[in-house]
Amino acid sequence: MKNCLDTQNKLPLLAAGEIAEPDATVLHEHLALCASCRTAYDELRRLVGELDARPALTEVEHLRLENSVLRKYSLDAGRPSRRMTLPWAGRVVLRLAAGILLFAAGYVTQEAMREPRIDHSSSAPAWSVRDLRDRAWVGQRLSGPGLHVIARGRTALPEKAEPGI
Amino acid sequence: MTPFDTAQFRRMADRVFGLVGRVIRDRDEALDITQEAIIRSYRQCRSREEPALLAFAIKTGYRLALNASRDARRRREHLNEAAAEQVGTAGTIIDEMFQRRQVLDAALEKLSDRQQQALRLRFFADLTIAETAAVMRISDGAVKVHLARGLARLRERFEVELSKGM
Repeated sequence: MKNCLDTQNKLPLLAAGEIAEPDATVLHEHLALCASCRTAYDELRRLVGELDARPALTEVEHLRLENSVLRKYSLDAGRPSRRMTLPWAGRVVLRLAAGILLFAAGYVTQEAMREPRIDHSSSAPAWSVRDLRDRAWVGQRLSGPGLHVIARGRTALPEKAEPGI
Repeated sequence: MTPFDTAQFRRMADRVFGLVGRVIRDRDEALDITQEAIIRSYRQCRSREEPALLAFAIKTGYRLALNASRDARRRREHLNEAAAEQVGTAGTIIDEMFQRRQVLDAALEKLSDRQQQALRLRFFADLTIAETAAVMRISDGAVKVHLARGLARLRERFEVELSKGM
């Protein structure tokens, strides 16, 4: 009876045919003597038999499967390792394209940021006529008649200023 | 890849369909899933060796089948409440074999996931212990433990369900 508990634990694997020969014989010897183990084993055998009853493919279904798989797979049937290299090459191309795109985007943004300054300077240049005139006016006041020639176009200002002096 | 090997394809199709066909009731749907699983294994499996391809196809097929059966069950639960009462009387005509199969499937679904997977791979997909271990990524010994416990519990469950159902 001590043997029984041990056997009960091994019965499922025996029923599944997963116990190799020397052990299997020992178990079968016990089964021949023990009625309760015997019923348990028979039930398990029946269960395994029912589990093992698989649906099988008919010939028509086999052909149907083959055809559809071949059709879907015909691109690389017979061509060695095309599948393996294509994704890799694709990835490299993708990365390159992404890099170029990033670079271009950076360049464009930089240009866009610079643009307002260009606009500003074109509407009001750094060396405007007024600037020149002011400098000339200051120059005239500091260094006398020598520079007066430059400011000659606007003679009104010095003349107006004269009465004050 | 070597030119399309019909014999190899048939062996794989048989085993994947054995597994998928037992999880999915609808035969056409099971065929579709078998096809999808094999195509994916040809496309995505890194090795071209048959055991690796088979393991990949089995794994994929099992996952797809479980998802599909879960969806189907959800749909059935939605519809069946009203229909179940009508079938009640007609149900007695269903023969014993069919009923045992139904009860077995129901009992199988009550086991733990790993036990279910081990039993299904071993019996439905007709894999060896070693192949099952490779698919489940566990040791041979662990597969045997899942099988033994799963079968033992299945037997208890089966008797209970059978006495309840009949």
